[in-house]
Amino acid sequence: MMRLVRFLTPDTVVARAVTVLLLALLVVNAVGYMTYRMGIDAIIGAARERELAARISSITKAVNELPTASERDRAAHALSTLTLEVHWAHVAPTIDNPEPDAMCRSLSERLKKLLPRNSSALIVGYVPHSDHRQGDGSAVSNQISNLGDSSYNLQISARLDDGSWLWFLSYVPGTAPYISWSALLVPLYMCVAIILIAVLSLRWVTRPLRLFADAAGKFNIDAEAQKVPEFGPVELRTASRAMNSMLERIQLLVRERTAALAALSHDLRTPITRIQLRNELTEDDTLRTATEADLAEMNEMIQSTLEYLRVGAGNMPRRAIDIGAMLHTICDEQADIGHDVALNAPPGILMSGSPNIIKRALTNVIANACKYGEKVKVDLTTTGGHMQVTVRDEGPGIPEQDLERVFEPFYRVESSRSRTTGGTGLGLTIARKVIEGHGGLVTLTNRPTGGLEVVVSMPLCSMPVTAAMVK
Amino acid sequence: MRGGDKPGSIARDDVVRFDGWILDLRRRELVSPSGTLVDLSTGEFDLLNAFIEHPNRILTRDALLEFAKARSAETTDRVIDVQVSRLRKKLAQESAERPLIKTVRGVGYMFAPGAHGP
Repeated sequence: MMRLVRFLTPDTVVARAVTVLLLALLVVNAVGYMTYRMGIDAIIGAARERELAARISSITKAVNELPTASERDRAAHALSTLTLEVHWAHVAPTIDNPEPDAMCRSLSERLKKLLPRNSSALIVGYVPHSDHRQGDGSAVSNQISNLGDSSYNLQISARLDDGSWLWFLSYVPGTAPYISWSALLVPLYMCVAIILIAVLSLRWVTRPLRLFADAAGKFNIDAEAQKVPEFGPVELRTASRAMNSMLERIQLLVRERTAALAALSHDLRTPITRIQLRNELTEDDTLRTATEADLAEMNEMIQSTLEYLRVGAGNMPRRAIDIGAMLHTICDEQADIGHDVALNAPPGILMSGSPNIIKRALTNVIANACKYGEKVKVDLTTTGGHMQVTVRDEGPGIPEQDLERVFEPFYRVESSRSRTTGGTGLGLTIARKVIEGHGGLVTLTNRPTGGLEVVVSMPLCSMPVTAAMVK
Repeated sequence: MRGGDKPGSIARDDVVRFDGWILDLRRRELVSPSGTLVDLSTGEFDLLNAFIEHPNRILTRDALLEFAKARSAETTDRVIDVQVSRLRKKLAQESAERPLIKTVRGVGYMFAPGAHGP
C-alpha cells in the first residue's frame, strides 16, 4: 500500500503532473466509455426485443393458419433460423419461474399487443442450456446456446388456436466484452502522447524553478551581491524577487555585524597598547608578567578575530605558490620554538591561491597539532589534481562528538578550555574557511593508534604562472 | 622592472633580480624564475637580502649574524648554518644545477649569482 502511495506521488513536479494528467485521462475515458456502452446496450436491447417480438408474432400467426399437425411441425422447423429456433408441440412447456425479469416482462407485454388472440397463453422465461425439454424430444441446437454468454436460453411459448403449442428458443443477449483492444487503443495513444508532451513541456516549465534553486543554493554570504535570476512565470518572478530582497537583507545584516565586530576588535588595540605601556611601570615583577601575558592573549584574540573576518572578505589576488617551501617555513618555525615536527615535502608542488591566508590556514593546522599533540608528522603528496597535506600527531586526539564542532567559530574542545594554552577557537575555523574558499577540503580523524590526523586537500595549480604574468 | 638587468649585476630597488629570481623588498616576497611564490621566513629573507647586498663576497658567520639582525640573544653560528641550509633548499628547487650560495670551508658563505660571474 505504501509502495502504491509512493508510486502515485513521485518526487518531481514533472512526474507528479504527468501522474495527475494520466489519472484524469483514465477517469474521463473510463466514465465516457461506460456511458457510451450503456447507451448502446439499451438501444441494441430495445431493437432486438422489437424484432424478436415481431418475428414471434408473425411466425405464430402463420403456423396458426396451417391445418395439419405435420404441416405445422414442418413449417415451424422451416421458419427456424440461427438465432430463433421454432418447434411445434402438443404440450405446454413447464417453466419454473415465468417472466423473472424486466426484459421478459417487456417482451411479454409487447407480444400480448401483437398477438391479442394468444395473449392469455404466452409463457416467457428462461431455461438452462442443459435442460432441453422439448415437446417432440428433439435436441436444441447448440448454436443457440453458443450465441449468448449466459447459461440460460430465452424460451417463449405461445398456444395456438387448437390448443397445441409453438416453442421459441432464443439466446439471452449477452453483453459484448466491455474492454476491447480497439477501445483501449485510443486512450493508450493519448497516454503516450500526454507523457511525451507533458515531460517535455513541464521540463521547460520547471526549468526556471531549477535555476532558482541552483542560484539560491550557490548563495555565498561573503561574495559580492549575487542575484537569483528573475525570469520564468509570474509566480516564480515574484519568488525570485522576494528571495533577492531577502539575500540583500541578509548580506547587509552580516556586513553590518562584521563591520561592527571588526571595528570593535580594531579599537580594542589602542586601550590594550595604553595598558601595556602603563604596565611597564609596574614594579611588582610577578604582577607585570601576569598582566603582560593577559595582554598578549587579548592581542592574539583580536588578531585572530580580525583574520577570521578578513578571510571572509574574500577576493584576494591569487598567485602560484610553492606549497613545499611554505610548509618548510611553517614547520621550521614550529621546530625553532621547540616542537617535534618532521616534514616530508617533495619540491615543485604548486597551487594557486592567496599566499598570506593559505599560510595562515596551514600554520593554524600545524600549530594546532604541535600545541595539542606531540611528534608531529607533516606529509605533502599529490593525488589526482589535488595536493594533500597530512598532519599526524601523537596527542590525545579530539572526542568523536567534537570532530565537526571544532570548525565552528569560537568553539573549543572542553579539555583545551581549561588549559593554559589560550587560543580563541578560531584557528580551525579560519583554516577551513580558507581551504574551502580555495576549492579544497579539510578533514579531521582520530587515528586508531592515537592522535589526530588532519588532511588538507586543495586543487593543484592547473596552469603554471609565468614570471611575466606575475610582474 | 627598473634598474639594470644585465647578467651578473643586481638591480637595486624595491625589486631585486638575480638569475631569474625576483626578491620584492617591499612585500618581502621571493618569486622563482617560473613565477612561483616561494615562502621565506623572516630570518631567511634577511639572510638572502644580506647575500644580495654583498654578492660574490665571502661572508663570515659573524657578519651574517650582524646582517641578519639576529633576533634573539641565543643566536649562534649553528643557527646561521641552519638558516643557510633552509634558504639553500628553497633556492635549490629551481636552481639546483648550480648552487647560488657556496660554502667556503672554515670561513663562511659566498653568494654567487649570474651565469658569467662578476
